[in-house]
Amino acid sequence: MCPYPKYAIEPLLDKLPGGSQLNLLVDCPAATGDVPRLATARGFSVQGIQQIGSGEWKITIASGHS
Amino acid sequence: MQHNKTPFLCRPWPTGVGAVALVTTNVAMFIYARALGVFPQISMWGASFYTHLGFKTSSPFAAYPVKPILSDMHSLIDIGIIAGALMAALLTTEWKFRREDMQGAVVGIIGGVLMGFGTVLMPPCNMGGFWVATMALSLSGPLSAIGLLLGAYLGGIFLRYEMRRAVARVDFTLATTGEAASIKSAAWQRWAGLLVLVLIATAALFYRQAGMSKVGGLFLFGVLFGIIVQRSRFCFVAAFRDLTVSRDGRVMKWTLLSIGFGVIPFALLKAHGYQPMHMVFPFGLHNLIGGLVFGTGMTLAGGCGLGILARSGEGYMRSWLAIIGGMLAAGLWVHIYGAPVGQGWLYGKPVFLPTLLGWYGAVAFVFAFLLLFYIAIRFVEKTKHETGKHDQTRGQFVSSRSQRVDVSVS
Repeated sequence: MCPYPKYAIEPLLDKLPGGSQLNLLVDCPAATGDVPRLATARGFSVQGIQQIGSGEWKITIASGHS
Repeated sequence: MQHNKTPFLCRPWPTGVGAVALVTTNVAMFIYARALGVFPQISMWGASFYTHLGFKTSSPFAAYPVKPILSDMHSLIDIGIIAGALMAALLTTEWKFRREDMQGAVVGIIGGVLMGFGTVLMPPCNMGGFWVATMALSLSGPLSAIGLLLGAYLGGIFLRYEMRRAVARVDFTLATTGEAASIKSAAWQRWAGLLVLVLIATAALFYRQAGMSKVGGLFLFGVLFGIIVQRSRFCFVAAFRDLTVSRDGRVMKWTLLSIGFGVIPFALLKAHGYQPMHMVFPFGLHNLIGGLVFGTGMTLAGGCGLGILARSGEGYMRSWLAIIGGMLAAGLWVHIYGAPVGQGWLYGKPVFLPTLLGWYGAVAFVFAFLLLFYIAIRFVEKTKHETGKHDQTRGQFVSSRSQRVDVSVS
Protein backbone atom coordinates (compact mmCIF):
# COMPACT_ATOMS: atom_id res chain seq x y z
CA MET A 1 0.00 0.00 0.00
CA CYS A 2 1.29 3.42 -0.94
CA PRO A 3 3.38 5.00 0.53
CA TYR A 4 4.58 2.28 2.94
CA PRO A 5 7.42 0.89 0.74
CA LYS A 6 8.64 4.43 0.18
CA TYR A 7 8.65 5.17 3.92
CA ALA A 8 10.16 1.77 4.73
CA ILE A 9 13.11 1.88 2.37
CA GLU A 10 14.99 4.75 4.00
CA PRO A 11 15.23 3.26 7.53
CA LEU A 12 15.85 -0.17 5.96
CA LEU A 13 18.81 1.17 3.98
CA ASP A 14 20.11 2.84 7.15
CA LYS A 15 20.20 -0.58 8.80
CA LEU A 16 21.48 -2.61 5.85
CA PRO A 17 24.96 -4.01 6.52
CA GLY A 18 27.63 -3.07 3.98
CA GLY A 19 28.28 -5.50 1.15
CA SER A 20 24.73 -6.80 1.35
CA GLN A 21 22.06 -7.32 -1.22
CA LEU A 22 18.49 -6.50 -0.26
CA ASN A 23 15.57 -8.03 -2.11
CA LEU A 24 12.60 -5.84 -1.31
CA LEU A 25 9.31 -7.54 -2.19
CA VAL A 26 6.50 -5.07 -2.87
CA ASP A 27 2.95 -5.29 -4.18
CA CYS A 28 2.44 -1.59 -4.82
CA PRO A 29 2.97 -0.60 -8.48
CA ALA A 30 4.12 2.92 -7.57
CA ALA A 31 6.89 1.50 -5.35
CA THR A 32 8.68 0.15 -8.43
CA GLY A 33 9.41 3.78 -9.32
CA ASP A 34 9.72 5.40 -5.87
CA VAL A 35 11.95 2.85 -4.13
CA PRO A 36 14.69 2.66 -6.81
CA ARG A 37 14.69 6.46 -7.07
CA LEU A 38 15.21 6.86 -3.31
CA ALA A 39 17.83 4.10 -3.10
CA THR A 40 19.83 5.56 -6.00
CA ALA A 41 19.67 9.04 -4.45
CA ARG A 42 21.20 7.58 -1.28
CA GLY A 43 24.10 6.06 -3.18
CA PHE A 44 22.90 2.46 -3.31
CA SER A 45 22.92 0.53 -6.55
CA VAL A 46 19.61 -0.81 -7.84
CA GLN A 47 20.36 -4.04 -9.67
CA GLY A 48 16.92 -4.89 -10.94
CA ILE A 49 13.17 -4.63 -10.72
CA GLN A 50 11.52 -7.91 -11.55
CA GLN A 51 7.85 -8.79 -11.60
CA ILE A 52 7.64 -12.05 -9.68
CA GLY A 53 3.90 -12.58 -9.70
CA SER A 54 0.63 -10.84 -10.32
CA GLY A 55 0.99 -7.40 -8.79
CA GLU A 56 4.22 -8.32 -7.00
CA TRP A 57 7.74 -7.13 -7.68
CA LYS A 58 11.23 -7.80 -6.38
CA ILE A 59 13.54 -4.80 -6.19
CA THR A 60 17.19 -5.76 -5.75
CA ILE A 61 19.36 -3.18 -4.01
CA ALA A 62 23.05 -3.57 -3.17
CA SER A 63 25.00 -1.57 -0.60
CA GLY A 64 28.36 -0.37 -1.79
CA HIS A 65 30.60 -1.04 1.22
CA SER A 66 32.12 -4.42 2.01
CA MET B 1 14.65 3.00 -14.26
CA GLN B 2 14.12 0.07 -16.63
CA HIS B 3 12.13 -2.90 -15.46
CA ASN B 4 13.95 -6.14 -16.22
CA LYS B 5 12.41 -8.18 -19.06
CA THR B 6 9.10 -6.31 -18.96
CA PRO B 7 7.39 -6.21 -22.38
CA PHE B 8 7.14 -2.67 -23.74
CA LEU B 9 3.33 -2.48 -23.55
CA CYS B 10 3.36 -3.63 -19.93
CA ARG B 11 5.88 -1.03 -18.75
CA PRO B 12 4.56 1.78 -16.59
CA TRP B 13 4.07 5.16 -18.26
CA PRO B 14 6.31 8.02 -17.16
CA THR B 15 4.68 10.44 -14.69
CA GLY B 16 4.69 13.27 -17.25
CA VAL B 17 2.80 11.14 -19.79
CA GLY B 18 0.21 10.44 -17.09
CA ALA B 19 -0.15 14.14 -16.24
CA VAL B 20 -0.59 15.21 -19.89
CA ALA B 21 -2.98 12.31 -20.63
CA LEU B 22 -5.09 13.20 -17.58
CA VAL B 23 -5.47 16.88 -18.47
CA THR B 24 -6.13 16.11 -22.17
CA THR B 25 -8.85 13.63 -21.23
CA ASN B 26 -10.29 16.14 -18.78
CA VAL B 27 -10.54 18.89 -21.42
CA ALA B 28 -12.05 16.41 -23.92
CA MET B 29 -14.62 15.28 -21.35
CA PHE B 30 -15.51 18.91 -20.54
CA ILE B 31 -16.16 19.50 -24.25
CA TYR B 32 -18.21 16.28 -24.38
CA ALA B 33 -20.33 16.96 -21.27
CA ARG B 34 -18.58 17.83 -18.04
CA ALA B 35 -15.14 17.98 -16.41
CA LEU B 36 -13.83 15.43 -13.95
CA GLY B 37 -15.20 15.24 -10.44
CA VAL B 38 -15.77 11.99 -8.61
CA PHE B 39 -16.91 12.48 -5.02
CA PRO B 40 -20.34 14.20 -5.32
CA GLN B 41 -21.65 11.05 -6.99
CA ILE B 42 -20.10 8.87 -4.25
CA SER B 43 -21.95 11.11 -1.77
CA MET B 44 -25.14 10.50 -3.74
CA TRP B 45 -24.58 6.72 -3.43
CA GLY B 46 -24.48 7.20 0.36
CA ALA B 47 -27.74 9.19 0.40
CA SER B 48 -29.27 6.56 -1.91
CA PHE B 49 -28.15 3.77 0.45
CA TYR B 50 -29.77 5.48 3.46
CA THR B 51 -32.95 6.13 1.47
CA HIS B 52 -33.15 2.44 0.52
CA LEU B 53 -32.84 1.54 4.20
CA GLY B 54 -35.91 3.66 4.86
CA PHE B 55 -34.00 6.63 6.31
CA LYS B 56 -34.96 9.33 3.86
CA THR B 57 -32.28 11.93 3.21
CA SER B 58 -31.35 13.91 0.13
CA SER B 59 -28.10 14.01 -1.78
CA PRO B 60 -25.63 16.57 -0.35
CA PHE B 61 -24.94 18.01 -3.81
CA ALA B 62 -28.14 19.45 -5.28
CA ALA B 63 -26.94 18.86 -8.86
CA TYR B 64 -26.58 15.14 -8.10
CA PRO B 65 -30.04 14.05 -6.92
CA VAL B 66 -30.61 10.51 -5.70
CA LYS B 67 -31.36 8.29 -8.68
CA PRO B 68 -30.60 4.74 -9.86
CA ILE B 69 -26.83 4.56 -10.11
CA LEU B 70 -26.71 2.77 -13.47
CA SER B 71 -28.70 5.51 -15.18
CA ASP B 72 -26.78 8.37 -13.57
CA MET B 73 -24.15 9.74 -15.97
CA HIS B 74 -21.95 11.07 -13.13
CA SER B 75 -21.90 7.71 -11.37
CA LEU B 76 -20.92 6.02 -14.61
CA ILE B 77 -17.69 8.06 -14.70
CA ASP B 78 -16.73 6.52 -11.35
CA ILE B 79 -17.77 3.02 -12.38
CA GLY B 80 -15.76 3.53 -15.58
CA ILE B 81 -12.66 4.49 -13.56
CA ILE B 82 -12.93 1.27 -11.53
CA ALA B 83 -13.49 -0.81 -14.69
CA GLY B 84 -10.64 0.86 -16.61
CA ALA B 85 -8.12 0.35 -13.81
CA LEU B 86 -9.31 -3.24 -13.33
CA MET B 87 -8.87 -3.96 -17.04
CA ALA B 88 -5.43 -2.31 -17.26
CA ALA B 89 -4.20 -4.11 -14.13
CA LEU B 90 -5.42 -7.48 -15.43
CA LEU B 91 -4.02 -7.07 -18.97
CA THR B 92 -0.58 -6.25 -17.54
CA THR B 93 -0.90 -9.01 -14.85
CA GLU B 94 -0.63 -6.45 -12.07
CA TRP B 95 -3.95 -7.21 -10.38
CA LYS B 96 -3.78 -8.51 -6.85
CA PHE B 97 -6.15 -8.68 -3.92
CA ARG B 98 -4.28 -6.49 -1.44
CA ARG B 99 -5.66 -7.56 1.90
CA GLU B 100 -5.50 -5.30 4.97
CA ASP B 101 -5.13 -6.35 8.58
CA MET B 102 -7.51 -4.90 11.16
CA GLN B 103 -5.41 -1.77 11.70
CA GLY B 104 -5.15 -1.12 7.96
CA ALA B 105 -8.91 -1.62 7.57
CA VAL B 106 -9.67 0.86 10.35
CA VAL B 107 -7.28 3.43 8.87
CA GLY B 108 -8.96 2.96 5.46
CA ILE B 109 -12.46 3.49 6.88
CA ILE B 110 -11.36 6.54 8.91
CA GLY B 111 -9.66 7.91 5.78
CA GLY B 112 -12.86 7.43 3.78
CA VAL B 113 -15.04 9.05 6.46
CA LEU B 114 -12.72 12.09 6.57
CA MET B 115 -12.85 12.27 2.75
CA GLY B 116 -16.65 12.12 2.93
CA PHE B 117 -16.88 15.05 5.34
CA GLY B 118 -14.04 16.87 3.58
CA THR B 119 -15.85 16.70 0.24
CA VAL B 120 -18.99 18.39 1.53
CA LEU B 121 -17.00 21.06 3.38
CA MET B 122 -14.44 21.90 0.68
CA PRO B 123 -16.37 21.32 -1.77
CA PRO B 124 -15.98 18.90 -3.59
CA CYS B 125 -12.91 16.60 -3.73
CA ASN B 126 -9.26 17.06 -4.62
CA MET B 127 -9.93 16.49 -8.34
CA GLY B 128 -12.99 18.73 -8.72
CA GLY B 129 -12.17 21.16 -5.91
CA PHE B 130 -8.50 21.77 -6.61
CA TRP B 131 -7.25 20.36 -9.91
CA VAL B 132 -10.28 21.07 -12.12
CA ALA B 133 -11.54 24.09 -10.14
CA THR B 134 -8.22 25.90 -10.59
CA MET B 135 -8.20 25.34 -14.36
CA ALA B 136 -11.91 26.24 -14.45
CA LEU B 137 -10.98 29.66 -12.97
CA SER B 138 -12.64 29.16 -9.59
CA LEU B 139 -10.97 31.05 -6.74
CA SER B 140 -11.83 28.17 -4.40
CA GLY B 141 -9.21 25.96 -6.10
CA PRO B 142 -6.03 27.68 -4.86
CA LEU B 143 -7.41 28.09 -1.31
CA SER B 144 -8.37 24.42 -1.17
CA ALA B 145 -4.78 23.52 -2.13
CA ILE B 146 -3.48 25.06 1.10
CA GLY B 147 -5.90 22.98 3.18
CA LEU B 148 -5.01 19.84 1.21
CA LEU B 149 -1.30 20.43 1.80
CA LEU B 150 -1.83 20.73 5.56
CA GLY B 151 -4.04 17.64 5.62
CA ALA B 152 -1.62 15.55 3.53
CA TYR B 153 1.16 16.52 5.95
CA LEU B 154 -0.85 15.32 8.97
CA GLY B 155 -1.86 12.05 7.29
CA GLY B 156 1.63 11.47 5.90
CA ILE B 157 3.33 11.96 9.26
CA PHE B 158 1.02 9.32 10.74
CA LEU B 159 1.74 6.82 7.93
CA ARG B 160 5.48 7.39 8.18
CA TYR B 161 5.39 6.91 11.95
CA GLU B 162 3.40 3.68 11.49
CA MET B 163 5.93 2.35 8.95
CA ARG B 164 9.05 3.37 10.84
CA ARG B 165 7.76 1.61 13.94
CA ALA B 166 7.30 -1.58 11.91
CA VAL B 167 10.73 -1.27 10.26
CA ALA B 168 12.40 -0.77 13.67
CA ARG B 169 11.64 -4.43 14.40
CA VAL B 170 13.58 -5.66 11.34
CA ASP B 171 17.01 -7.00 12.31
CA PHE B 172 19.22 -7.79 9.34
CA THR B 173 21.85 -9.53 11.48
CA LEU B 174 19.31 -12.24 12.30
CA ALA B 175 18.08 -12.62 8.73
CA THR B 176 18.75 -15.84 6.94
CA THR B 177 19.92 -15.75 3.39
CA GLY B 178 16.63 -15.96 1.56
CA GLU B 179 15.82 -18.00 -1.48
CA ALA B 180 15.04 -16.00 -4.59
CA ALA B 181 11.29 -15.68 -4.90
CA SER B 182 9.95 -17.84 -7.71
CA ILE B 183 8.16 -16.25 -10.62
CA LYS B 184 4.51 -17.18 -10.70
CA SER B 185 2.67 -17.18 -13.99
CA ALA B 186 -0.52 -15.16 -14.06
CA ALA B 187 -1.69 -15.84 -17.62
CA TRP B 188 -5.32 -16.07 -16.47
CA GLN B 189 -5.23 -12.35 -15.74
CA ARG B 190 -4.79 -11.48 -19.41
CA TRP B 191 -7.89 -13.52 -20.30
CA ALA B 192 -9.82 -11.88 -17.47
CA GLY B 193 -8.63 -8.47 -18.74
CA LEU B 194 -9.94 -9.28 -22.22
CA LEU B 195 -13.26 -10.31 -20.68
CA VAL B 196 -13.48 -6.95 -18.85
CA LEU B 197 -12.71 -5.21 -22.17
CA VAL B 198 -15.60 -7.08 -23.83
CA LEU B 199 -17.91 -6.21 -20.92
CA ILE B 200 -16.94 -2.51 -21.13
CA ALA B 201 -17.65 -2.45 -24.88
CA THR B 202 -20.95 -4.28 -24.36
CA ALA B 203 -22.04 -1.84 -21.65
CA ALA B 204 -21.17 1.15 -23.88
CA LEU B 205 -23.15 -0.36 -26.78
CA PHE B 206 -26.07 -1.12 -24.47
CA TYR B 207 -26.24 2.54 -23.38
CA ARG B 208 -26.12 3.65 -27.02
CA GLN B 209 -28.94 1.28 -27.98
CA ALA B 210 -30.97 2.43 -24.98
CA GLY B 211 -30.73 6.05 -26.14
CA MET B 212 -28.40 6.99 -23.29
CA SER B 213 -25.31 7.78 -25.36
CA LYS B 214 -24.08 10.45 -22.96
CA VAL B 215 -24.14 8.03 -20.03
CA GLY B 216 -22.22 5.48 -22.10
CA GLY B 217 -19.81 8.15 -23.34
CA LEU B 218 -18.98 9.34 -19.83
CA PHE B 219 -18.53 5.71 -18.79
CA LEU B 220 -15.88 5.37 -21.53
CA PHE B 221 -14.18 8.58 -20.38
CA GLY B 222 -14.11 7.08 -16.88
CA VAL B 223 -12.50 3.93 -18.32
CA LEU B 224 -9.84 6.11 -19.93
CA PHE B 225 -9.11 7.88 -16.63
CA GLY B 226 -8.85 4.50 -14.90
CA ILE B 227 -6.37 3.21 -17.50
CA ILE B 228 -4.22 6.37 -17.27
CA VAL B 229 -4.05 6.31 -13.46
CA GLN B 230 -3.29 2.58 -13.37
CA ARG B 231 -0.58 2.69 -16.05
CA SER B 232 1.13 5.96 -15.03
CA ARG B 233 0.71 5.41 -11.26
CA PHE B 234 -0.08 9.14 -11.22
CA CYS B 235 -1.15 9.95 -7.68
CA PHE B 236 -2.47 13.30 -6.52
CA VAL B 237 -2.05 12.25 -2.90
CA ALA B 238 1.64 11.65 -3.58
CA ALA B 239 1.84 15.19 -4.99
CA PHE B 240 0.64 16.73 -1.71
CA ARG B 241 2.12 14.17 0.68
CA ASP B 242 5.61 13.95 -0.83
CA LEU B 243 5.96 17.72 -0.92
CA THR B 244 5.06 18.19 2.72
CA VAL B 245 6.40 15.02 4.34
CA SER B 246 9.39 14.08 2.12
CA ARG B 247 10.07 17.58 0.73
CA ASP B 248 9.96 16.06 -2.76
CA GLY B 249 8.03 18.16 -5.29
CA ARG B 250 8.37 15.93 -8.38
CA VAL B 251 4.70 14.87 -8.67
CA MET B 252 3.37 18.27 -7.59
CA LYS B 253 5.37 19.96 -10.36
CA TRP B 254 3.66 17.69 -12.90
CA THR B 255 0.32 18.43 -11.26
CA LEU B 256 0.90 22.19 -11.59
CA LEU B 257 2.07 21.79 -15.18
CA SER B 258 -1.09 19.83 -16.01
CA ILE B 259 -3.22 22.66 -14.56
CA GLY B 260 -1.22 25.09 -16.71
CA PHE B 261 -2.03 22.98 -19.79
CA GLY B 262 -5.71 22.88 -18.88
CA VAL B 263 -6.37 26.50 -18.00
CA ILE B 264 -6.06 27.87 -21.56
CA PRO B 265 -8.62 25.54 -23.21
CA PHE B 266 -10.96 25.97 -20.22
CA ALA B 267 -10.68 29.77 -20.44
CA LEU B 268 -11.22 29.76 -24.23
CA LEU B 269 -14.29 27.54 -23.99
CA LYS B 270 -15.78 29.48 -21.11
CA ALA B 271 -15.03 32.87 -22.73
CA HIS B 272 -17.07 31.68 -25.72
CA GLY B 273 -20.02 31.07 -23.43
CA TYR B 274 -19.59 27.31 -23.02
CA GLN B 275 -20.73 26.36 -19.46
CA PRO B 276 -19.02 29.40 -17.88
CA MET B 277 -19.91 28.51 -14.29
CA HIS B 278 -19.01 24.82 -14.62
CA MET B 279 -16.83 23.63 -11.69
CA VAL B 280 -16.91 27.04 -9.97
CA PHE B 281 -17.44 26.41 -6.27
CA PRO B 282 -18.22 28.46 -3.14
CA PHE B 283 -15.22 30.36 -1.81
CA GLY B 284 -14.53 30.77 1.88
CA LEU B 285 -12.80 29.47 4.98
CA HIS B 286 -14.57 26.14 4.38
CA ASN B 287 -12.21 25.54 1.42
CA LEU B 288 -9.32 25.54 3.88
CA ILE B 289 -11.04 23.43 6.56
CA GLY B 290 -12.53 21.01 4.02
CA GLY B 291 -9.16 20.73 2.29
CA LEU B 292 -7.51 19.91 5.61
CA VAL B 293 -10.09 17.22 6.43
CA PHE B 294 -10.10 15.78 2.89
CA GLY B 295 -6.29 15.94 2.66
CA THR B 296 -5.85 13.98 5.89
CA GLY B 297 -8.45 11.44 4.79
CA MET B 298 -7.06 10.88 1.29
CA THR B 299 -3.57 10.30 2.69
CA LEU B 300 -4.83 7.70 5.17
CA ALA B 301 -6.97 6.08 2.47
CA GLY B 302 -4.02 5.93 0.05
CA GLY B 303 -5.69 7.82 -2.78
CA CYS B 304 -7.81 10.87 -3.59
CA GLY B 305 -11.29 10.31 -5.03
CA LEU B 306 -9.85 9.30 -8.41
CA GLY B 307 -7.11 7.27 -6.71
CA ILE B 308 -9.34 5.16 -4.47
CA LEU B 309 -11.63 4.38 -7.41
CA ALA B 310 -8.70 3.27 -9.60
CA ARG B 311 -7.04 1.35 -6.75
CA SER B 312 -10.27 -0.40 -5.85
CA GLY B 313 -10.15 -1.74 -9.43
CA GLU B 314 -6.56 -2.84 -8.84
CA GLY B 315 -7.65 -4.90 -5.82
CA TYR B 316 -6.83 -2.68 -2.85
CA MET B 317 -9.10 -3.58 0.05
CA ARG B 318 -8.27 -0.26 1.75
CA SER B 319 -9.72 1.64 -1.22
CA TRP B 320 -12.96 -0.34 -1.10
CA LEU B 321 -13.31 0.50 2.59
CA ALA B 322 -12.50 4.16 1.91
CA ILE B 323 -15.24 4.37 -0.75
CA ILE B 324 -17.75 2.84 1.67
CA GLY B 325 -16.62 5.15 4.51
CA GLY B 326 -16.77 8.17 2.19
CA MET B 327 -20.25 7.47 0.85
CA LEU B 328 -21.70 6.72 4.30
CA ALA B 329 -20.23 9.91 5.83
CA ALA B 330 -21.05 12.31 2.97
CA GLY B 331 -24.50 10.77 2.49
CA LEU B 332 -25.47 11.97 5.97
CA TRP B 333 -24.53 15.61 5.34
CA VAL B 334 -27.99 17.04 4.66
CA HIS B 335 -29.27 15.26 7.77
CA ILE B 336 -26.43 16.71 9.89
CA TYR B 337 -26.18 20.23 8.45
CA GLY B 338 -29.79 20.70 7.41
CA ALA B 339 -29.10 21.98 3.88
CA PRO B 340 -27.25 20.87 0.77
CA VAL B 341 -23.66 21.87 -0.02
CA GLY B 342 -23.32 25.54 -0.99
CA GLN B 343 -26.35 26.75 0.98
CA GLY B 344 -26.60 28.24 4.47
CA TRP B 345 -24.21 29.93 6.87
CA LEU B 346 -21.21 27.68 6.27
CA TYR B 347 -20.53 28.40 2.63
CA GLY B 348 -19.33 31.50 0.83
CA LYS B 349 -20.44 32.51 -2.64
CA PRO B 350 -18.83 30.99 -5.75
CA VAL B 351 -16.12 33.33 -7.04
CA PHE B 352 -15.50 33.09 -10.77
CA LEU B 353 -12.17 34.79 -11.41
CA PRO B 354 -13.12 36.40 -14.79
CA THR B 355 -16.00 38.35 -13.18
CA LEU B 356 -13.46 39.72 -10.70
CA LEU B 357 -10.41 40.25 -12.91
CA GLY B 358 -11.56 39.90 -16.52
CA TRP B 359 -10.53 36.95 -18.74
CA TYR B 360 -6.88 37.92 -19.15
CA GLY B 361 -6.59 38.83 -15.49
CA ALA B 362 -8.13 35.51 -14.44
CA VAL B 363 -5.71 33.47 -16.58
CA ALA B 364 -2.79 35.59 -15.35
CA PHE B 365 -3.96 35.01 -11.77
CA VAL B 366 -3.92 31.22 -12.21
CA PHE B 367 -0.46 31.29 -13.82
CA ALA B 368 0.82 33.56 -11.03
CA PHE B 369 -0.56 31.06 -8.50
CA LEU B 370 1.17 28.18 -10.34
CA LEU B 371 4.43 30.12 -10.48
CA LEU B 372 4.31 31.01 -6.77
CA PHE B 373 3.52 27.41 -5.93
CA TYR B 374 6.48 26.29 -8.09
CA ILE B 375 8.85 28.72 -6.35
CA ALA B 376 7.61 27.43 -2.98
CA ILE B 377 8.32 23.84 -4.11
CA ARG B 378 11.87 24.77 -5.16
CA PHE B 379 12.39 26.39 -1.77
CA VAL B 380 11.10 23.29 0.08
CA GLU B 381 13.29 20.99 -2.06
CA LYS B 382 16.33 23.13 -1.32
CA THR B 383 15.84 22.71 2.44
CA LYS B 384 15.80 18.93 1.90
CA HIS B 385 19.15 18.93 0.11
CA GLU B 386 20.72 20.84 2.97
CA THR B 387 19.55 18.39 5.65
CA GLY B 388 19.96 15.33 3.37
CA LYS B 389 23.76 15.35 3.73
CA HIS B 390 23.35 14.80 7.45
CA ASP B 391 20.92 11.90 6.90
CA GLN B 392 23.37 10.11 4.59
CA THR B 393 26.25 10.24 7.05
CA ARG B 394 24.03 8.79 9.72
CA GLY B 395 22.95 6.03 7.33
CA GLN B 396 26.43 4.65 6.66
CA PHE B 397 26.81 1.34 8.39
CA VAL B 398 29.87 -0.65 7.49
CA SER B 399 30.02 -4.37 8.02
CA SER B 400 32.33 -7.10 6.76
CA ARG B 401 29.47 -9.59 6.57
CA SER B 402 28.08 -10.27 3.16
CA GLN B 403 24.53 -11.46 2.88
CA ARG B 404 21.34 -11.21 0.92
CA VAL B 405 18.14 -10.36 2.73
CA ASP B 406 14.55 -10.56 1.56
CA VAL B 407 12.13 -8.06 3.04
CA SER B 408 8.48 -7.89 2.13
CA VAL B 409 6.61 -4.60 2.38
CA SER B 410 2.98 -4.29 1.44
